[in-house]
Amino acid sequence: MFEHLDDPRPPAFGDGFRRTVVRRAHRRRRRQVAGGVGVAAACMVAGAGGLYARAALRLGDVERTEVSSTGDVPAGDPVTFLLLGLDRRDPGAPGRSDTIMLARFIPGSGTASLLSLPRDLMLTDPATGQPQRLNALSERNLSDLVAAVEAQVGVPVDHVLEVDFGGFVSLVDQVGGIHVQAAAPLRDRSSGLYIDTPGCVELDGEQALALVRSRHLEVQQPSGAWVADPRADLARVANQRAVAVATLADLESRPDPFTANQLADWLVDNVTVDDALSVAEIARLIETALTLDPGSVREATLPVVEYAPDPNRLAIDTERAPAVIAAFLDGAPVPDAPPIPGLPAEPPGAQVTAC
Amino acid sequence: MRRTTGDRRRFEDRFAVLAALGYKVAYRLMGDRAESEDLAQEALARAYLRWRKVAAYDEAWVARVTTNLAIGRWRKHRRVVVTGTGEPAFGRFPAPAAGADPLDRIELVRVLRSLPRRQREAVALRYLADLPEADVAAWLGCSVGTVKTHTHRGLAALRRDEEAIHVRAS
Repeated sequence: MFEHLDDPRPPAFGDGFRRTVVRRAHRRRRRQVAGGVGVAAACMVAGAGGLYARAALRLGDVERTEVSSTGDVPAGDPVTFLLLGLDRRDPGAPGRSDTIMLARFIPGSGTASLLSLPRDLMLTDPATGQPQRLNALSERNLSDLVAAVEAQVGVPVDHVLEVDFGGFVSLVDQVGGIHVQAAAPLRDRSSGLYIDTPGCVELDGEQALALVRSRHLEVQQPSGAWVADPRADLARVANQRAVAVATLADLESRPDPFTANQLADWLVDNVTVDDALSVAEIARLIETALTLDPGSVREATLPVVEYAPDPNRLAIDTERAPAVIAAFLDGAPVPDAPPIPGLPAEPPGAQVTAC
Repeated sequence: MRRTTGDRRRFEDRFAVLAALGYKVAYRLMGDRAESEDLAQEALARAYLRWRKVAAYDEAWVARVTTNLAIGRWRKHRRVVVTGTGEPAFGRFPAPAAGADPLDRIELVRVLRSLPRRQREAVALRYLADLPEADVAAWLGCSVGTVKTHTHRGLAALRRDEEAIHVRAS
């Protein structure tokens, strides 16, 4: 109909054009944040979470990373975050994901659930169609990581939050230490963990980091001998969730009015979020973190089996995973984690929980 | 669950199609390369920001937003000076591309602006974006028959206008 009005030689729409589009989108968002949205969010949460308007406005400055297919979630709807703990000693380096965890907050029931994805899990790389280890995917491209998790694990991801080691240590220290317990003394000579007494102990940032990084956990038996935990990385992901719950518990037990602001400041200084996470959503997240009952958090590791082509890798356990994922999505109690075939159980006393 | 996983489209994968579509719609209305690239970028940036809502009907969304942006742009540069020779000189626009009559564009935009919203969207999606009738119907939330009615009336208005131009020109 209007073909005669067409450009006879339309330009190519390559990567340069796409980058310009994304840059413009970011500029637009910043403008929106600087305008009404930021103020509205600030007013909205100023009372509820004890968040001061200044801190709420500052939330607009949080660092952003480009992830496609994330989007804002209306208040009151369940929201799922992909949490990445980055091993990044050198600021500016891309960093490897040591922790890959899904967190879902369900406002209706006031519960939350955590699902750890072992870093040795093999997924199909959406870019190449080849099998790829989960943490190698996360290193390269967050959009591909999100797409792979959504399509192959079957959990819709609304947002991505990235924290590096330094950020994690500073959170634990700002909370004033976190509290965990195990039935026996624990150590990890490679990560530097040493918990010499059984029962509830307080960990500072460095010790909490040593615990979440520990892949060579050893448990002291009543005889005095140290026994290695054969679960290795799977023990680590369980400990990471225990630390997450402990952090929530210790945040919640400090209801002084400065906490929300400290948390907002910490977030702006240490966390990278996807570019679709709105300021109102960040404010809601802070409020959730401060008010959530840590006892209501359901947690599990994604059920896995040995990956057939390589015994050092893992594949999704297609029999047991669906029930665990369904429970994760509903915030329902997770069915008992079955032992992984071919893997010896943990030594007594190795279980770490919040206290 | 809010949506099904696995079949969700990714912005990266749809980018090339949407950029070309946005540019085509913009160029048909603006006739200027730089302006059209700018409008296509703006429409895509907006789509990117609310991709979750847009993804399911991304082409219709981009076409509609580009059309509205172009109409807005024309309104802003309303001072289109008709020179003595009868060839319109665009306010601050560079010379329009050769081969296409710029009058077509001015009238097209004028008629689009004068149409009721539903008719305008139907015409823009069907004839500026060249989307199939079924897609236009799905986006407008009406039947294919209603799309035909809307586009027919919209085009009739355009033809009446064209005749008027030709009468004036002769």
